[in-house]
Amino acid sequence: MMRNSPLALIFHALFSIFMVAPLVVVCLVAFTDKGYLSMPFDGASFRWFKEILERPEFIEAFWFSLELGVVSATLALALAIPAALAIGRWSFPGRGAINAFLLSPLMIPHLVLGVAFLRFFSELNINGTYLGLVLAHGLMIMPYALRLVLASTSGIDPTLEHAAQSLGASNWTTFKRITLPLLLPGIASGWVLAFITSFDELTMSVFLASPSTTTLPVRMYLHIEETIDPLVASVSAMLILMTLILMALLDKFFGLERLMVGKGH
Amino acid sequence: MSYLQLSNISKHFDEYVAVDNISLSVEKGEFISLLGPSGCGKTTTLQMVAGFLNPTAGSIVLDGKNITAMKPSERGLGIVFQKYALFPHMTVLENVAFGLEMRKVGKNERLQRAREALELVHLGLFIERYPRQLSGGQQQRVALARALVINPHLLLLDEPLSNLDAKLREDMQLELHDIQRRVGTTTIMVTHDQSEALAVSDRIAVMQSGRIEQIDKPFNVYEHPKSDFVSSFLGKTNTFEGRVSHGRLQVGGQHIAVDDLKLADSSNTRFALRPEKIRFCSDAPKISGKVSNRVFLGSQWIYEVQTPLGDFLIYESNNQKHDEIQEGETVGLSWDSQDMRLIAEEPASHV
Ligand SMILES: Nc1ncnc2c1ncn2[C@@H]1O[C@H](COP(=O)(O)OP(=O)(O)O)[C@@H](O)[C@H]1O
Ligand SMILES: [Mg+2]
Repeated sequence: MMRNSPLALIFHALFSIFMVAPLVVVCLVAFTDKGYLSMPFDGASFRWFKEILERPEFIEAFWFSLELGVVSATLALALAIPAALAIGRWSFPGRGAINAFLLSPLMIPHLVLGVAFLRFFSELNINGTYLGLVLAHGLMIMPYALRLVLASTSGIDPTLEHAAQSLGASNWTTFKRITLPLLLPGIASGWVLAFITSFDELTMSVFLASPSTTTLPVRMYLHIEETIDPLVASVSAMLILMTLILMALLDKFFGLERLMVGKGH
Repeated sequence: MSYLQLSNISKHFDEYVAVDNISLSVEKGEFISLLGPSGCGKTTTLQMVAGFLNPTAGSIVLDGKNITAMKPSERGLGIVFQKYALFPHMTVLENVAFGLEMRKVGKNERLQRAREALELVHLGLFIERYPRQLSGGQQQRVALARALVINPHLLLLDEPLSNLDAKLREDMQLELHDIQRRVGTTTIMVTHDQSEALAVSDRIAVMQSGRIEQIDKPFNVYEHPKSDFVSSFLGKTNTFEGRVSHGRLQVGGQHIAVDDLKLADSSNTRFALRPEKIRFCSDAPKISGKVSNRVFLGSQWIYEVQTPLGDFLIYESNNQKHDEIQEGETVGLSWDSQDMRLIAEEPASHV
């Protein structure tokens, strides 16, 4: 355990407050009973939460984003797992370059990604389609999944696989019964992180969404462009709640600290 | 033909020769140790038998079948890894039953057999635990049970006791020996610990730089080492060089009676003499020297004596009736001439 000096404690406290304060403010504003953004101290209500239910376009966008997140996070994992196994377990020429290449979407601004995909998808005639969004999101969130799966591959002792083989397990059985279960914490957390990143993405999606493929962040953005009312706050509060629940589940089953900080077993 | 036959096995890693033309025959039921310093190629040899490495040259025949190119999963060998390699996400019972499951043994039977195997290694009470909830010694036993439960053709052990503390290691040595005798599985153990090899093996193959220097029963390897390396690697030994003329040995300006050794004349002969073969004596000593150091170990004393032949190490059991020997004292030393070993490696012209 590191000992924290009082100064460090103050710093950490300020830092945490700085991080959390906007979220708290948004959640508070969601409970206002006024028609404009304001704190609920002189009148609180569930008015703006009820309002969500009367806006089918928000509900629709929510389900669309949910599905997009699930599909593209799954796609990202399907790419990230074999890539992480190859990069994490074997050394081969060009390994570092491939790793850097696969992580490179992290370094490209989403604005640039959005413009690039827009151009590329127009060429392929899939602009504004569901497929286009899935491909773009899958690619953009893949590095997040890769990072976490990669961290858990390095924690697996290769002699475990030898042990399974010596006991008669084929390569596939060894993967299914030994490697995959041991990768599961990394896979689960990688999936959740990828999902949240996709669910949350605005900048790139603005370029790629069409009226039939509007994600929730895009819907909120369009709404704010027209009018600023506490509806966006209540929607945001719901999203914060959903994220907290996901994180709590992840922590319960795998231990957040271990997953994110990468501590061994 | 022997049960297991390694013929002219070599393993090269690029330019580096890790195992250099090894041949080894193992009889059914035998316990063989590969003993040698770290880096001499023991693990590499074992991995080739297990199938995790392909030999660069040579063949491996097990029970009449050439298994050189067979997959590890088809060889049917039980392996205990140095770091145990227990599956962390499975209970002890599931770990042990895994090999039987792979052999499509029905659920009830495999759990039954796994329980029996765990009882064999005295872990009957721990079957529902996970490996991380066990001590090192207990994990070691689970690994052994997991390897034995499949009735392997061959049991391979890679430094199985090296991660245990000294006391536990001695207990486990005896237990390993006992279990192997009871089960009767042909076993190859890799170790760099000579006392471990001496304690449990039927035969020891002493390895150095990728080669086998000598294969023999533990007593013979210890008592009749074929080379300087073997004699110094197994236990401590005192060595000295001398010249033989007219059946007498001349060492460092001294004459030592060796009548009963029947030595031919030679210009330069190298001898090894075990520390426990030397005794203190006051009349007619072979040589005399000055005690420079002594250490009491409970069951025995260790002395260092400066002699004209060099510094000698002497072990004496704590059961001697003579007066206590002090540091700095001058003492006479004697031994039986037959206990002197000619070390074959040093070429003496007419031996
Ligand atoms: N995969 C490998 N690539 C290159 N060299 C290796 C490899 N495995 C082992 N070696 C080398 O071969 C030699 C023998 O290794 P090993 O069989 O593990 O020794 P031991 O088990 O006797 O300590 C060592 O010098 C080691 O560095
Ligand atoms: Mg080794």
